[in-house]
Amino acid sequence: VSNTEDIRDVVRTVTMHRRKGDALARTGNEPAAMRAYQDALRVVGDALMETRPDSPNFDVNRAELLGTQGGLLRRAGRMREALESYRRGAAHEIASGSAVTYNRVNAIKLALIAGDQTVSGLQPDLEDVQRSLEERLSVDQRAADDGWLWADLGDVRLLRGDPDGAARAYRSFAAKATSGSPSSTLSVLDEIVKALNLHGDESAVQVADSVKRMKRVFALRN
Amino acid sequence: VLAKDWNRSIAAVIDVEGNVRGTAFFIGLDVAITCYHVLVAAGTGAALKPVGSEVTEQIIETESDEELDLALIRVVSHSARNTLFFDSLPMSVGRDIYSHGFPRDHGIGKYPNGFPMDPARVSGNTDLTWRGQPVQLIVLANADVQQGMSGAPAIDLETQSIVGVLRFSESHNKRALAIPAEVVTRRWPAVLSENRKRTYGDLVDTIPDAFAHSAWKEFDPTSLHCLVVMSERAETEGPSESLDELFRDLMSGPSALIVWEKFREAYNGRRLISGTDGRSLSISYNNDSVNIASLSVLDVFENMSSVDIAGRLIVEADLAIFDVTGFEPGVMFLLGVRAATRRGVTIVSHGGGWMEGEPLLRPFNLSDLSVASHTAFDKSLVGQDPRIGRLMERICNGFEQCLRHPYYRDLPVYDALRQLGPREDARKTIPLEDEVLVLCSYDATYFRNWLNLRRRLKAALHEAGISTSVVRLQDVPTPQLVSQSLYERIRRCAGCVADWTGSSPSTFFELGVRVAVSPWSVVQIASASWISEIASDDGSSETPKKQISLMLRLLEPILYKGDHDPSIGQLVAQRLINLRASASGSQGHGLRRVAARALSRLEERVPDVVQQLRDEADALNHPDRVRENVPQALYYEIASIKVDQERAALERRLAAWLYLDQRVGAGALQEDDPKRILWLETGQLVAADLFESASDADQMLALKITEKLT
Repeated sequence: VSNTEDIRDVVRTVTMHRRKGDALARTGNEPAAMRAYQDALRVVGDALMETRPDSPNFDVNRAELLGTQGGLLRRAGRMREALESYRRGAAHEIASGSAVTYNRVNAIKLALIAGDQTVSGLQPDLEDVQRSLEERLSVDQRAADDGWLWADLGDVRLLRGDPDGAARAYRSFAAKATSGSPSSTLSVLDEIVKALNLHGDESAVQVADSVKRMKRVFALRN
Repeated sequence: VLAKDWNRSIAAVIDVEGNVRGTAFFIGLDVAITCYHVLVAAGTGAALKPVGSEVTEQIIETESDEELDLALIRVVSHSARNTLFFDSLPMSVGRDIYSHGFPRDHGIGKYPNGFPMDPARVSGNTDLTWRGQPVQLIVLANADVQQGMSGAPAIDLETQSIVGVLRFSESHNKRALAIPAEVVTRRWPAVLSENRKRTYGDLVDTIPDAFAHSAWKEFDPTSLHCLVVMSERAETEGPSESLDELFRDLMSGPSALIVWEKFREAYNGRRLISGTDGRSLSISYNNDSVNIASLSVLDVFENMSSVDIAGRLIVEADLAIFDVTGFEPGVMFLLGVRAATRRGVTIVSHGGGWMEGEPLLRPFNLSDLSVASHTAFDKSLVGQDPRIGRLMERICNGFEQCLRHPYYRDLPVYDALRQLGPREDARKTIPLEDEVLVLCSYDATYFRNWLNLRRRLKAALHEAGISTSVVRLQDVPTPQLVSQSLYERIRRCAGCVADWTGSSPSTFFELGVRVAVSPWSVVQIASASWISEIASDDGSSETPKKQISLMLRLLEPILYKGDHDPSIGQLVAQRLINLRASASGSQGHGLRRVAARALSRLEERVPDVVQQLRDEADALNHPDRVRENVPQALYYEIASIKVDQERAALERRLAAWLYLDQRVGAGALQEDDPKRILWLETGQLVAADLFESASDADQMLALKITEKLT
């Protein structure tokens, strides 16, 4: 797996299995959903095995594959492995110098879902990612086209206690992204709220309020 | 006066089985003339059997004119050949015409030296449309239609001179005709010369040397074909302003590799209607894979053969570069032919002191044309000529855009002529009875000419029982864009008049489009006083005098007397009615046939249905949006627009997949078969999107597809 075409093949195959798993999970057919996620994980795993450090775009490709793997592991309920995958992906993201912050933001969110960290304990990381995103989005107009970056910025601002800033970022996200994208973002936010309550995080109420508000933002758009 | 043994110049045209199919006569050491239909009847392997000779002479090559029904035949040269020469004397009514040939009712077995024809009398003439222009054939009375005599010389008994070629066979109208020498010379001007040693090459090889040497013989799908069309003005400017020299400079350096690479990216694999595989362009650059032809507009209009070759090159060129300095009429005419026939990359460049960025008055129908400059830089005394880099950039951008943009255009017209909508009547001819379209100048000085033409033409057509409207585009009350409605009318109107007066560049561009596309040709006219003004010009104006004079000789517009000519209406009306009568089986102007022949080899196929559906789907909602969520709708903030585009993309991909699955049977192909790979990829995308749907039916379909794929 060394070029864009290879990555496209992997992402396309994985997306089909992942969405199949999501559809089955929605109908309550958990075992079948897990099989679909496993199929997808196998494809990503094979691709990761085939990435070579001397191949072009090694860090970019590796970050994308590890991020994809993290999402599948989270769905499969393997939170620790998911967190690990995102953290490894985050290191490649930073090394590649790309605008993408997917792994970094998801590592933060998953740390909260797993109860590994508190919202206040993650503030330095959140601040770093926020600065990096805001800098990039203010100067890189091509990066600013990408809805996912605005979703990441919304998540980070929300967790940093800036609901107004989060709403602005989510509006851009909802406008730019495909129509189905906000629902997956909201479901992760719901998971975070649930986990913060479960782990007695002191920011749980504040985050829950902000998430409610974000739901209204998305609802208004549709 | 004819020589005593003149009939030894006559020969029978025989087919492979030895049957006589007609007559020919020698007009040079290795060349004879006959009727085109005789050659067609004789078929492959035909030969000539001269009077008094026991030997048959195999035909080596021919050059034909289907419309005039004439053909030149080349055989082996004989220094002692008996030859005849045409005389330009007119065939007056009442004169007796005599001949000698091989009539079928006097078989060659019994009459090996042929048989004389009983004299026939010139009784009148009949019009024929040749390349959109009328020519007159002679009607002979008291002449039985004698099969086998076609192609024999028409000899005026009184003057003992060769005044034409007999043409006896007409499938549905069995009149005896003669093609006058004057008409023969329109096609092959050198036949009037009395050079006793002339050859086939002297008659047909009339293309100016400069472009005969550079023109490629035929389109080669593995090569890049580049054409440079030079203006008349370039002839007087030095080499520093020559677009041809500039382009050749570019292609003789390392830039050629870059141009080739960009061309290859854009054109490799494109499928042509003439072959099964796509164009195969080599990865590495090779000098031999690039053909560069240069035409001066003056050479193009030298004679009809030159026009035909130029027409072919214009259609075939992957890259055409036009010197539009001064927007000369001949160049604009050729640019119109290009715009109508080919979607390749076309660069238009202006010299004569104009620099990019400066204001430039463009013809109104080419106002959005991106014009380059090839004006020489006075100050660039060192380093590479900066124009080369700029020209290369333009060419490369053209090929790049060609690759990225399915509707890339650098000239107007092409789509406007073809995209007429799905309605049954959208392409139907607009008959003479409905409208006559006039292409002309919109200059205020021309307005009175226009008023006179409209009034007289309308009245003349009315007298002929045709009540119609005579319009310029401006007179049509439509809100439609000029570029759409004009070219649609140029294609559909059977009656079309082009007035050269004022040499409006727009008019000549439109005229080029018209002759390239319409099977109904066009009636061309010009004000005699305008022609005189040009003729008497002392060179102080920028009018391209030589070019207009050559075009006048070749295209023969009807001349009229300014804004008060009472006869112009009659003349144009008669020409339009003749065209209507003759065009039912015609293919239009010669350039239209040249273009059609060229396009039969290089027209690109309509895109494959799967590719088209996938491209449309990708343009609406690209699969990469899973990775980079970049909006595709222009007003992406409107959620309903986005949802509609996503749904439309899904349906197109689904249609493509079903086609591959059911029609192609791609699922049963080998794993590495490109169609199976496409089937798998498309199926994955479709299933992934269907799984996101809330509909049970979509979920079921998604599961069925994934089962098939895995």
